[in-house]
Amino acid sequence: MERHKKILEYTLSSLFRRRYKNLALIAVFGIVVTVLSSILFLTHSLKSEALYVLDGSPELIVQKVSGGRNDLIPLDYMRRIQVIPGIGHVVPRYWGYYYDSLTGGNYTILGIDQDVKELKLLDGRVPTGNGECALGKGVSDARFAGIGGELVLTDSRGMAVSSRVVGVFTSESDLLANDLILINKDEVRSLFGMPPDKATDLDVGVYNTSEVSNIAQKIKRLLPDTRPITKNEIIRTYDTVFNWRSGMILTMFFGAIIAFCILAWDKATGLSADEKQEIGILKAIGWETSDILEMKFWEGVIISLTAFLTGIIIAYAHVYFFGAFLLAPALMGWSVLFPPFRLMPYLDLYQITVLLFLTVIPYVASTIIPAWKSAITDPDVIMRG
Amino acid sequence: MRDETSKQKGMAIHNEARGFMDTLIVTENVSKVFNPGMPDEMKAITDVSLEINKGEFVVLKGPSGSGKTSLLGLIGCMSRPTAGRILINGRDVAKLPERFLTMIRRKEFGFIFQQFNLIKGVSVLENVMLPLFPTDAMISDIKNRAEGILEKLNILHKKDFKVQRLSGGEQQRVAISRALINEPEAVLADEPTAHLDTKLSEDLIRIMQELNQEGKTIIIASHDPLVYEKPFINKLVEMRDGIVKEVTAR
Amino acid sequence: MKHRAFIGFIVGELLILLLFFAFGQATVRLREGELRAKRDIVWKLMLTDFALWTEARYTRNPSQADLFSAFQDFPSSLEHFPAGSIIPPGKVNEPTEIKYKKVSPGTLKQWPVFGLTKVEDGTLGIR
Repeated sequence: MERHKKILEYTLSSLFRRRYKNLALIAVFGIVVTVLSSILFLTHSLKSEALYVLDGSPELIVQKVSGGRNDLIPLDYMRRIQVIPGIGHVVPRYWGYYYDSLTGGNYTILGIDQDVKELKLLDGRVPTGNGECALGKGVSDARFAGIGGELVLTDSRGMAVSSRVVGVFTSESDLLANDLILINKDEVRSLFGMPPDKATDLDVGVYNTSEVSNIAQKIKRLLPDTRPITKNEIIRTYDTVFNWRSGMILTMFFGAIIAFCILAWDKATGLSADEKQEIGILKAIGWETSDILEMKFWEGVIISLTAFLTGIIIAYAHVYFFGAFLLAPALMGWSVLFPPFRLMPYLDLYQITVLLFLTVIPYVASTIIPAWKSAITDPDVIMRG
Repeated sequence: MRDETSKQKGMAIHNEARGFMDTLIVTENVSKVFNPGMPDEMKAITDVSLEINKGEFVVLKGPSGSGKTSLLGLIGCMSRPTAGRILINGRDVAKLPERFLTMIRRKEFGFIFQQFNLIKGVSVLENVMLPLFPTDAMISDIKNRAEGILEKLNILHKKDFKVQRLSGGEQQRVAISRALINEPEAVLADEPTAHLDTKLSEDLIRIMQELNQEGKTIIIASHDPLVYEKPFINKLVEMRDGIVKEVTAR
Repeated sequence: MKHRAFIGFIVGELLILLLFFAFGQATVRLREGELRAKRDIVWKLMLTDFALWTEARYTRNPSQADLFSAFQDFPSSLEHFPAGSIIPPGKVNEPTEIKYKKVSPGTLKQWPVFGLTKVEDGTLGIR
């Protein structure tokens, strides 16, 4: 035990002697770990939340497809779907996108029924009749329209439609409701100029959830120009969206990995003349090969473990205390309304362990292995030259 | 002057009185070939047989290339012979694995190199303590011992200095201190006076002599007459071209 | 003693991580109500997606988007919304079926079509 303590002590002194170089190494390594783990934490949290929250989605959404594009669905289809055994409710959805040239943002306008009496995470109340609306926080902020204020939209004929704001969603609901405008479903129809016999799509309920895909196939066969989407597919979308393998996230990932490889390569290309001489002297004064290798092991561990732990701590704080403010601009794209991150701190220990093994172990190996040749030389080599 | 002579005489009488002397090192027909079978093959030592007893002051004399440095390395368990046996305290070390060789070396030998080979950027005290780092001794014990040795050699006041800031003579004393940290049976020195002026050379030889009088075996490889012409040398081994030409024992 | 400082530092960082972990667990439990409320909104409003990327239809509702909306208005109109690079294209879940009618014996063999397998008379499955 004493032996290991003393070798560790010597290694620390040795690293301290070249302290600027080693601090730079720790910094680069740490930044790589911070970037990688920030991405992992963010995507895992969003994925976990999506899995739980979107479990409340409709079992089946039926869209009409025309010319490869989404089209309004005839209400007549409801009657034809209702007769399929196993189907529970069939409810039409009225919703659409609205481009606001004033702010340059896109909103989602959602029509609600009279039977939605109250909603959680909503300040104020649910709009009851025509001329009332509830807004997501992003819309409310963008248009400076709080409770009691007024929202003016342009309908399909270019006429201005005014609504009184009776409710604003709280910031906790941002992920879901940030860009929403809730109005009476009749008003949605007149706003978008939808014909009275059509809806945007249908929400279909199923009694036995294991039968969903069968029923979806039956609907498709019955109504060939429809596209049924199951809840499973909805949730799976978010599984892949927040997969680290997707586009921009992968690019950042790769950048970090390349930086790391450069780091390890620098170590792996061998020892400097100074280092070789130091090893030679140590061997001559009585250090064995195993002592030298232990010294190199400590060297690798000191740098990589310090960097790894510091990187993870910074990443955690960055994502969960500071809303991932460094990553958000990269994810935001061109969205004008982007909800601030208030992520749930779900930690996947498996991911962290994998990251540990993929960074610390190769680094320690790339510190020990190049020293192998020097470590096994005979002690008398230093005498000869 | 008089004190020295009487000390020497006393030592000689003591040795004689012992009759059967303790043999520390025996080499039997030892050869060392570097890079065997390759284009730069070099026969450093051929068929050397030697006996060194405890408490002797031995000098290996010869020009450069005579093999004395290689022989010193073999005796000090720093490398293995290509042929022959080496017995340390009666034990054949030629075929021992590295671990045991290092153990014996740590127990019996202290080495002073020609270039001193102190680690730059490291303090005097730490340089002296280094050989014992891979052992299970407590740092505080090693530190105490090191400070004791440094004091004896009059360099304790510079113990926290980085070694590259010391003068040649001071570095020499640090090198000697390092060789003594493990309380070895024998101190081996390879051309210790090669880079020193006369005064420093005489200083070093005097320190070696004092160590010898304390009972340590001293083995010095040197072609410096200042060293090999000293009267208190017990054994002078003349080497040339890898062979022992003559052994003069006193 | 440097080694004690180092070991102390590492232990300190591990403790911080443990604290974070405990904090995470506590926060999740505290905000459970919030999660349930969100699920309630999803249920009541029949929502299907997070309101993250509002720049285009298919980025706002990636689960509802058809395979073609990424190409917007013209086949060679390439992806131009940054968020589109984060979202991979949707999965195709429907198998493709091609119906054929045998005209004369041996006609099939002359078609160098890849991966054609005969499933039943009148329908070909393509893998």
